[in-house]
Amino acid sequence: MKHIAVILGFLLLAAHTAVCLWNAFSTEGSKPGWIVKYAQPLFKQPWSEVGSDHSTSTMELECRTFQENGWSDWHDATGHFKYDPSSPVERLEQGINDELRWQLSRNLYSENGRVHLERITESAAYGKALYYAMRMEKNHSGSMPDSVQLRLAIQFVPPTDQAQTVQTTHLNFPVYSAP
Amino acid sequence: MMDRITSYYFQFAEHRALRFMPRIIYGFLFVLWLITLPYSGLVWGADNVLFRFGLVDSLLDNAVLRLYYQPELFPWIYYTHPIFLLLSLRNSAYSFIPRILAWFSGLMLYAAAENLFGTGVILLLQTAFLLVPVHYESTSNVRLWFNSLSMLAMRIQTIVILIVIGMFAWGSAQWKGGDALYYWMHQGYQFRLFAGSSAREATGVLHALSLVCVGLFTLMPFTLLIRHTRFYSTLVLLVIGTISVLFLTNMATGFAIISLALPWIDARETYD
Repeated sequence: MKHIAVILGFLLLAAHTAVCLWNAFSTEGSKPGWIVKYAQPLFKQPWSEVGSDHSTSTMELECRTFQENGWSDWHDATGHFKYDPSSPVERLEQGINDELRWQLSRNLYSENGRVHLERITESAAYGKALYYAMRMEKNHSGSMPDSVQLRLAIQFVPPTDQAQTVQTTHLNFPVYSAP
Repeated sequence: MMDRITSYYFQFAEHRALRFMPRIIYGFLFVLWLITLPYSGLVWGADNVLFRFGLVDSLLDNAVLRLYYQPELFPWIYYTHPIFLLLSLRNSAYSFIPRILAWFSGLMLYAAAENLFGTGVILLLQTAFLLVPVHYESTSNVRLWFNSLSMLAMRIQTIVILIVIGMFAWGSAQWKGGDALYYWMHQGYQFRLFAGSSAREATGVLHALSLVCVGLFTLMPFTLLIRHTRFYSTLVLLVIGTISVLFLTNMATGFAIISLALPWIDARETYD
C-alpha cells in the first residue's frame, strides 16, 4: 500500500511538472487548450520574463485635461497626485506603459511623412491608458474631465559605451472627448 | 529498490522546512496585503483605475477572474484574505481550510491587478498552494504522504524556475552581453532612491554582476541537487532575496527569491 502511495505521489509530481514545463516553454498559440485551462489561471509560468531582455527606454504616461478653465498643464498621470515613484500605483501605470511600448514597437508607422497613431489608439493598451488617466483625475479631483489628451514621455537609455545623456521625446496622442 | 524509493519519498515528511515555511510564505503574503491597504480602493474597488474587459470561457479562469469582472465583490475578498492568511500561519490539522481559501482569494486579487506585484506574487501564491496540505509533526500516514508531496513539489518548482530563467537568459542578448542589469537599473520606479542613480553609473560592476547572474542561473539547478554544494546555493539565494527586499520597490520579488531557497534549508542536510 505504501509503495502504491509513493508511485502515485511521483506520478502526480511528474504530471504537474510536465504541464508546468510545457506551459513555460511553449508559445501562446501552440499550447493545447487543456494545458491553458489548467495552468494559466492557477499555475502560470512567467519565469522567462526574468531571463529576457529589459526595455532600453523609460516611459512615463502624461496627460492634460480640459475643464471649465481650459487646458491644464501636462502632468504625470500618477506622480501628479502625490504618489511616490516607488509606490504600487506607479507599477500599475508602468504596466500600462509596457503595453503601449509593445504597441509602439509594432503599430507605429509613418506614411507620406505623417505619423499614424490609428492602430495604437484603437488598441486595448490605449483604452487602458485613457481610462487610467481619467479615473485618476476623477478619484482625486472629484470630477470627470470633459476631454483628456495623453502623451508619452520617452527617454532612451544610451548604450554603456556611449555618452550618458538624457533626452526626452514626447509622443502626443489625439484629444479624447468624453461622450 | 522500491523500499529505497519509498524511504526517499517519506524522508521529506518531517523535513524541518515544513515547520517554518507556512509561517514565512503566508506571512510574506500578509505583508504584501498590508502594503496595498492605502491603495486598495484605487486598485480593486468599484471606482478602480484599471480598464477591465473581455471574457474567458473556462470555469477555472472565470472563478479566478470573478473580482476582475465584479469589483463590487472587493470588500468581501479583500478583507477576508488577511484573515485566512493569519489562520494559515497555524500548524494544525485543519489549517488546510484557511490556506486554500487564502490561496484562492490571493489569486483573485492578483488576477484583478496583475501589475501590482508581478511575477513575485505568482511564485508566492504557487508556493502557498503547495503548502496547503502541510501539517508538521502529524502522525497520520495520509498527512505524512502529503507533507512529502509538498516538499518535493516545492523543490522541483525551484529547479524548474531556475532552469527556465537560465535557458532564456542564454537566449537574451542583454544577459549574455552583460548589459541586463544596466538596462534594468534604468527603470527607476523598480529601485529605491538610495539604490538608483549612483549604482547606474557603475557600468563595469553592473556588467560583471550580469554575467555572474547568468552563471548562477545556469549552475544553481545542479548545485542545489548536489548535497555538498546545496548549502552555498541556498545561502546565495537567501542573500540575493534579502538584497532584493531592501533595494527593490517591489518587495514581492525579494520574497519570491527567498521562497525559492526555503525548501532546501535543512539543518541535518547542511551542517552534518
